[in-house]
Amino acid sequence: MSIPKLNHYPLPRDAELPENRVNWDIDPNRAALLIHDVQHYFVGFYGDDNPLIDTMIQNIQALKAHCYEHNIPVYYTAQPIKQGKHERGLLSDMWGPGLQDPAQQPIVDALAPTEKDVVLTKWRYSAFQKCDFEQQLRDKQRDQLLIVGIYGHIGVMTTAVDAFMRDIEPFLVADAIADFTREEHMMALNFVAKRCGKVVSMSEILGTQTQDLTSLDGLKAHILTLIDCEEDEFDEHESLIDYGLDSVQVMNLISLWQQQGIETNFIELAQIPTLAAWIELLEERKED
Amino acid sequence: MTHPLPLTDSQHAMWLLHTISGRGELFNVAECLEFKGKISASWLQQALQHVWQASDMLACRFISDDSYTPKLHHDNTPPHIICQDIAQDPEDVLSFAQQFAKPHLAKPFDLAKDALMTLFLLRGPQQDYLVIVAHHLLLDGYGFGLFSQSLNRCYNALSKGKPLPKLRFTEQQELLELQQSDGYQTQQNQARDTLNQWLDKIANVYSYSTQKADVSEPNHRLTSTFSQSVWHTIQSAAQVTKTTSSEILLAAIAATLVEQHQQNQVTLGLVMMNRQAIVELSSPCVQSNVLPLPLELNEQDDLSAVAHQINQQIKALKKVQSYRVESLKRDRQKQGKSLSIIGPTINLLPFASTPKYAGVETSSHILSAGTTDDIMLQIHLLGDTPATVDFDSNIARYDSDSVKNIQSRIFTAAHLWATQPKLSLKSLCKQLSQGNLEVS
Repeated sequence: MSIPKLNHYPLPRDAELPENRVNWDIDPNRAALLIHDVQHYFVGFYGDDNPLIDTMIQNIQALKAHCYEHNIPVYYTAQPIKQGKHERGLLSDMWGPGLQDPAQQPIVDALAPTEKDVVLTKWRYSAFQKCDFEQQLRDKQRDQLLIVGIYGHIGVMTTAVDAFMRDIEPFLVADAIADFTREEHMMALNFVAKRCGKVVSMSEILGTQTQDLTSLDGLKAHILTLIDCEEDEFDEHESLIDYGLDSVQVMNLISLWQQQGIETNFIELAQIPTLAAWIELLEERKED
Repeated sequence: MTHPLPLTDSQHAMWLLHTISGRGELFNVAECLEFKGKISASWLQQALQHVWQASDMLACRFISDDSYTPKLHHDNTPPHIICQDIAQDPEDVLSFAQQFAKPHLAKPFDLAKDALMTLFLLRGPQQDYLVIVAHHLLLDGYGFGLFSQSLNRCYNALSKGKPLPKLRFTEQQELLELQQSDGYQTQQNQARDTLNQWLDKIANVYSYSTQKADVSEPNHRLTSTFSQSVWHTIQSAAQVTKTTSSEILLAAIAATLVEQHQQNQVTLGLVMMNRQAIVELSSPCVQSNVLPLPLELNEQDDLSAVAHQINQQIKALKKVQSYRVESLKRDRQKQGKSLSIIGPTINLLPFASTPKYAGVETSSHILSAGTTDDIMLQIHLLGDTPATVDFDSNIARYDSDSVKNIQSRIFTAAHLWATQPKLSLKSLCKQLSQGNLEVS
C-alpha cells in the first residue's frame, strides 16, 4: 500500500518533449517557482546515490538560483507528519498512513529552503488544496507557476491541473521532476502539454544551448566524447570506424536523430562512415 | 572481372566448415521481413534480380577442383521468389515464420550448384511475409542488412517509376586485393600474436555448461525482452557510468559466470563485424568472426569498472578482429593447447531497420543466425526500445530449464547492477547466489 521502491531512469531529452498546445512565455514579473514535496521521506524511496534524484536536485538548484537572480519568488510544499485519518482523508486508503517519522519530514538538505522562501503545508495531491497558495500568488501578482519536484504524475501534475483551473499558467520543467517510472513521467508531460499547461526544459528556461546533433559542430562535439581523439587531430573526412566509433554508439545516435524525426539506419551510415558524409545525409533527410 | 576467383579467408573458412562437417545445414541463416500490408511480387522479384546481379559475391557458385580448392564462379541467375498463399495472417509472426523456415533451414545448400539463397513470399489476406533462407557464406548479419537495404531501395524506385539505382557493392576482386595487401597481412600477423598471447594468460575458459556434446538437432531458442522500466534503469546506469547499455549487459553476463564458477577470469566469445575499410563495409559476404573477449575481473569492481574494462577490451579486440577464429584454433592445436578458447558467444545486433516498401511499413525477425554447439546470446539493440535477447542453445548441452535459469540470472544481474551501480561484483554475486532471481 505504501510507495514502491523506485529506480532511476534517464530524464527526457529536449527532443523527446511533447509538443505544447499553448505558446505562453515565462515572464519573471509574473512567475513563481514551486518545489514540490522534495522531503526526505519521498526522496528516500529512490534509495541512496540515485542518479535520477542527483540530477533532479542539481537542476532544481540551478533553477532556484535563476529564480533568485530574476526576483521570482520560490515556494515549497511539504507534507506534515502523523496526519489523522480525517486530515489525510482518502490518501490513507490509497497510500497508507504516510509520513510518520519527524526526521523524514524536512526538505532534503541540498534544497533546504532559505528565509526568502515560503514553505506551504501540503494536504492533498494539489498544492492548492486546503491552503491559501492561490491567494499568496495573487498577492504577489503572480499568475505563472513553474513546477518541479516529485512525483511527476501525482502531485506535480495535479497541481498543474489545479493551477490551470484557477487561471494560473502552469509550466512543468521536464528535467527537474522525478517520477515512479519514465512512462509515468512522460505521461505527466504529455497530459500537461496537451490539456493544461506548458512543458519546458531547463535549457529553455536558463537559455543554455543544447547540442544540435544534426549540425556539423554539434555532432562533432558529441562524437569527440565517444572516441579517443583530440579535437585538433580530428578530420571530418576520415572514417569514424577507424577512429573507433562502434556499432552500438552509432545505434544510439540513430535513436537520437529519430527523436528529431530523422530516419537513418546503421547500414547506410556504415557505408559512408565520415562525419562530413553523415551531415550531408542528415541534411537530405531533413528536406524529405 | 575475370572469374573464377579465389575465396577470402572468411569465405574459405565457411566453405571448409560446410564441406568437412558434412552438416551444411548448420550454416544456414534465415530472416523474415513482415510487411504491414500487401506488396507487389513482381516489383520484389525485379528488385531482387537487380540486387543479385549487382554483386558477384551474391551472383555466384562455389566450385572446388579435385584438390579441394574452391573458387568463386560468377552465375548471374537470381533465385526465383516462391509465392505461397496463406489462409490467415498469423498472430505470432515470429513463431509462424520459424515454423515455416524450419524444414528449409534443415536442408543444406549445394555450394557448387545452388544460388545460396531461397526466398518465399507468403501472402496472407492482410499482410505479406518474405522469408529468406541463405547460407552464411553468402551473407552475415551485416550482409543481410546490406542486402535488405538494397532490395528496399530498388523496390521503392520501381514503385515510383524511377530507374533502378546504381548499387555500389564491393566486387570479390577488390576485397581480395585489400586482404592480400602487405598492410593487411602485417595486421594479421600482429593480430595472431596478440590473440595467442591473450589466450596464453587464460587458465580455463568457462561457459554455462561443462558438457561437450556436439550439435545433434537444431538449436533451441528462448527469447526474452527487458521490461520498459528495467531498460530505462539500464540506460540511466549507462549514462551514470559513461558506458553503453550493451556494455552493461556484457558486464551482467560476465557476473553470472563469475558467480557460477567462482572464478574472476571470464572469457566471452564476441561476434565481431570485422569490417573496417569501405571496401569491406560494402561487401555482403561472410566476414564476421567470433573472437575471445578475455576479462580479468576484481571482486571489488563496481559496474563502472567492469563496463569500462569491457569497453577497453572490445577496443583492443577490434584491432585484431580480422584474424579468423579457425586460424586461432589451428594455432592452439599446433602448440598442443586447449581448443576451448571462448565461453558463451555474444552477438550484439544493432542492424535493425524498418524501411517502408512503397509506403508499407515493415518489421524484421531474425529466425536463425546460424547454429552454435554451446550457447549464443543474440542481443537485439534497438536504441530506446528495450533490448530483446535470443538465447540459442545446443539442446545436447542445455535443457530448457537450464536456459531459463541462465536468462533469469543474466536479467536479474543486469537489473540489480543497473539499479545499484556501486554494488561490488562480490556483492552482486552474493545476491545472485542467494537466489535473488526474477523473470523480467
